[in-house]
Amino acid sequence: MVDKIDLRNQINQGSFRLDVTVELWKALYEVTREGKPANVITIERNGVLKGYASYLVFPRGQLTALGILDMNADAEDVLAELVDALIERAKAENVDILYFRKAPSSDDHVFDEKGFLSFVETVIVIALQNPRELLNAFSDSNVTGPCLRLTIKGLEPVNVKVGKQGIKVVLDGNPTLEVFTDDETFLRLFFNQTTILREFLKRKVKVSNVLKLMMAKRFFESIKQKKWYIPFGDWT
Amino acid sequence: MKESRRTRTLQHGEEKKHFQTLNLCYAPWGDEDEWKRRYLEFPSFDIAKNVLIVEEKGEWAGGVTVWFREAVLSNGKKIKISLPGDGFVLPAFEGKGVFSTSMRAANEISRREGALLSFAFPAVYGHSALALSKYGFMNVLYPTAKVYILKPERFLDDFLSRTRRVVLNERFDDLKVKLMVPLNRNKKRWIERALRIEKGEIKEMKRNPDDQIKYDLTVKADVELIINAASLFYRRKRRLYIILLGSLLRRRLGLRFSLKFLRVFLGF
Repeated sequence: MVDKIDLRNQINQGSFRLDVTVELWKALYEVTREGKPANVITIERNGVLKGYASYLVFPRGQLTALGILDMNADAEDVLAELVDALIERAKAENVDILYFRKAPSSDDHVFDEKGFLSFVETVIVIALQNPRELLNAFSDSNVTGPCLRLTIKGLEPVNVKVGKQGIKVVLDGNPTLEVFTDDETFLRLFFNQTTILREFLKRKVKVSNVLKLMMAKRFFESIKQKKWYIPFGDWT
Repeated sequence: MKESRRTRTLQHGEEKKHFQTLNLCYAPWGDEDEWKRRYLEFPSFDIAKNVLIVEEKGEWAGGVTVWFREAVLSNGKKIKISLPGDGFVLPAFEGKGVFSTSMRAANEISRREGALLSFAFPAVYGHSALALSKYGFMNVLYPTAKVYILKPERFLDDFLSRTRRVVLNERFDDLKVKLMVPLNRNKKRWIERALRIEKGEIKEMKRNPDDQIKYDLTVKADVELIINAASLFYRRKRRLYIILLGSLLRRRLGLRFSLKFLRVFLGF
């Protein structure tokens, strides 16, 4: 299973994702049920793992569904092969539906071509529990630059130095720019679901000095998660 | 919080009761193997720490479970996050703030354990996604569901039974709606359902509509459009109207309505 974890990390490198250890993999993805075939389909080429899909049959409302817990493939033809194999499994299991929840991506057409329907039926809601510590995860002690004070409504302000190379969280410092926003806008900027300019125009982000808006932009660029990967198996 | 109410963690020996309660509230939640997988086999998870029970006068009223994981940021650093889920409120205690007590307790335990972010995964239709915003959970990411339907009739019935929770304006009262959904892309076979809307709620669904009845609204649309419309209903009404208009023009959506429906829709 280590090779599957490696493939998952390799394909989703740079994406915000939940970490998977061997123990977690066993609990979340490689689920064995007595009298049932293994729930992981793999595709190898010349002995090298190219793709895998892990699934589980379970009730979904009044239906029986074959839910794909995790699926990664390093090429579109491998993904198409995996999808075909999953449709066959779904028929063999006599389920009502086969479904997969994924981040929108360039390989979506593979599913469309196989006859899958696409819609948004769930939302990932996120709560910001500790912004200072979250920003600390991006803090680089070598960064120098002007100080920005971020105030998220209802939470303690955080001072950060914004440099060309990144940010550094500081306890004091004399802020040259104050940025005010709310937790929803902050999270949407953090997860790259909107832009600072759009939120500024919507007055969801306010700055103490408009001429320094680019500094706020650089700050959000430093912490932005360009892509995300949270497959259904991670939904516990 | 009421004085008679207290929050505690699940005790060893109460596993079966928790599993049965989840199945009672979710109807169904899942089998015993699934409970074991999520509650006993999950690494670094202790039911006596992570499963919260809200009691009212010593009786179970509701609860929630908090799982903890590590997330990898784009810079490769790891942070702790929490995943509250399996929230339940027993029918006798609905509408009494039990869910609020559970969610506040889940946030407390998340912060205490050092989680920087918390994630939950509600459906977009219905009230849960809206209700969670009261506890700091904001709509941020929208995963795409890719669904391959093997049994269309069962899929539609399940969907309609869940969207009964979709609440329209109360002026949508005493309306009879006929829904026609094609079984396949060439639209040669159709599934038909009759719905009755009373005070903004879908009250009844019949598998075989009676053609003697005069329906206030007849909708012809494919499953994809119906589900997308339902998901946009709560979060992006303007986009919903644009999609519906576009679908009408492309003949993906067919509507036939009575004068009564038009009057109700326009609010006259």
